[in-house]
Amino acid sequence: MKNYLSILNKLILMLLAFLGFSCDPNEPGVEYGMPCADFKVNGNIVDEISLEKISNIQVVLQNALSSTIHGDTAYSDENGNYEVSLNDFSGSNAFIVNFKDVDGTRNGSYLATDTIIDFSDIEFTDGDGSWYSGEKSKELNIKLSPDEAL
Amino acid sequence: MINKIPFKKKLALELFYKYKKNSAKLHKLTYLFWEATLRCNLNCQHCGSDCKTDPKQNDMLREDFIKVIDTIKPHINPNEVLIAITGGEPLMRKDLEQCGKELFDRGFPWGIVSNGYLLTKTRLISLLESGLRSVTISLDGLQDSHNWLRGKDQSFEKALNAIGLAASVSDLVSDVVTCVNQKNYNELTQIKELLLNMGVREWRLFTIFPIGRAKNNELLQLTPDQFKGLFEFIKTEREKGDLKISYGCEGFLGNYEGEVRDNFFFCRAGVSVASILADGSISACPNLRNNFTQGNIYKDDFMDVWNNRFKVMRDRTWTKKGICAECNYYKYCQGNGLHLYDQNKDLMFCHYERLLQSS
Repeated sequence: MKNYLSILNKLILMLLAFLGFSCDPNEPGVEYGMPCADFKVNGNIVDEISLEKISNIQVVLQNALSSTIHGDTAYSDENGNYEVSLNDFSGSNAFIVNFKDVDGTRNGSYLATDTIIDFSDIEFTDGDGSWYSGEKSKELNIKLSPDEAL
Repeated sequence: MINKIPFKKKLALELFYKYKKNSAKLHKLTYLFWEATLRCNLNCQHCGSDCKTDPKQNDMLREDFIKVIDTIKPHINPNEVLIAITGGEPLMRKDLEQCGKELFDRGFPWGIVSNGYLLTKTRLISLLESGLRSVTISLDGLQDSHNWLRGKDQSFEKALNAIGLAASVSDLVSDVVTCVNQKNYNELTQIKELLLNMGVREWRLFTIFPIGRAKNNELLQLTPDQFKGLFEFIKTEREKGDLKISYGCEGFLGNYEGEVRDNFFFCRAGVSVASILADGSISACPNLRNNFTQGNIYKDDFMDVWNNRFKVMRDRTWTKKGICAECNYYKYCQGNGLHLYDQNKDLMFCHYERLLQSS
């Protein structure tokens, strides 16, 4: 029943437009949707002493202002490379990238570290002119300290 | 002639009547007001809610409002429901950004309706970083008439500053609203020029209805001829197309329908618009009298109330009384906006009747 009424209302709006009367179904004047963008961080993770590439490090990208935890998680590959991306509010600029060794002593043990990355100096690319502002991308190479307690 | 509606427009009004009927049956929630505070930093002559600098009603706790939002979210698409934070003056809340961010995190677009007095560049940036999507700022005339209506020196200067700030953010939906009255009626052309120069994209005009502090102030009401003159102004300016000007969703306007707004008249209170008031009351537009209250968030489930009550707003046949009973265009109007009804649910002001009184 609700679908039928929705379709009927769309038809009515089309007929009204045909008669020359534009009726905005979203009155009061509101644009619905959310301004969003893709924020990408990629780079390489190495041991700060030996400079050896470290694989399987968990990398989490989060909005620094977010009061709830949601983020993108990735793991560094065998060459220590990683890439994380997060679709978030396009007005955001500060993000936290968290690096954590989650595989115990396998592949060495490293201390976790957080880094704040600021996107305010980069312009968006490939926005759609509407709600999607586009993409911002930054490279962040990191050196992890070995965990000497282990 | 105001009362002579051409055949084509009548046909369109008939179709729109069906649209309104279907919309009432669908009652899809798309706009939720939150009266976040009754505190206000101004002392407006026309205030509908009788706000106070230090009201007896405390601000609703952020947690209480968000708790309700969490019960609503599973039933709707949050991207399609705008949360309009109003007051009082919403910028009086120091946790406005946290409120907004919590809404943003849940996928709701949100906006504020403000007098702009407290909107600085720093505050706007912080609101934008919390996901602010839309801003409505009130400007009620040039300096003297605005400050008179708003009851505070500098309120004009501060409102202009806020308007300029909001207009400078390209992807922020912003508009300016003006309550037209005796003091600013002759300033409309100058106000328009001012707004155009500031980069404003939308301007909504209202008239002041006789409630709250406005009830006993004749300067706030337009004469029938001024009332008609206002619609002539809007119609003429809309044709120029340099600024999107429209009249608010107040009442049926006879042959001005389709000329002074993007829509035909449609009071969406309880059809797609709901509100949560400072004391937890569940209603529609915040300026409705409290006899339209449908429940309270501290006792009722919001969605249960929205889905199963609100009949008084979705079936308006009860409004066909008094002057509406004999009106030729009742079908297209259905009793004006519900905010124009008093405590006894009697109509206080009819737009169409006021227009018919003009010469």
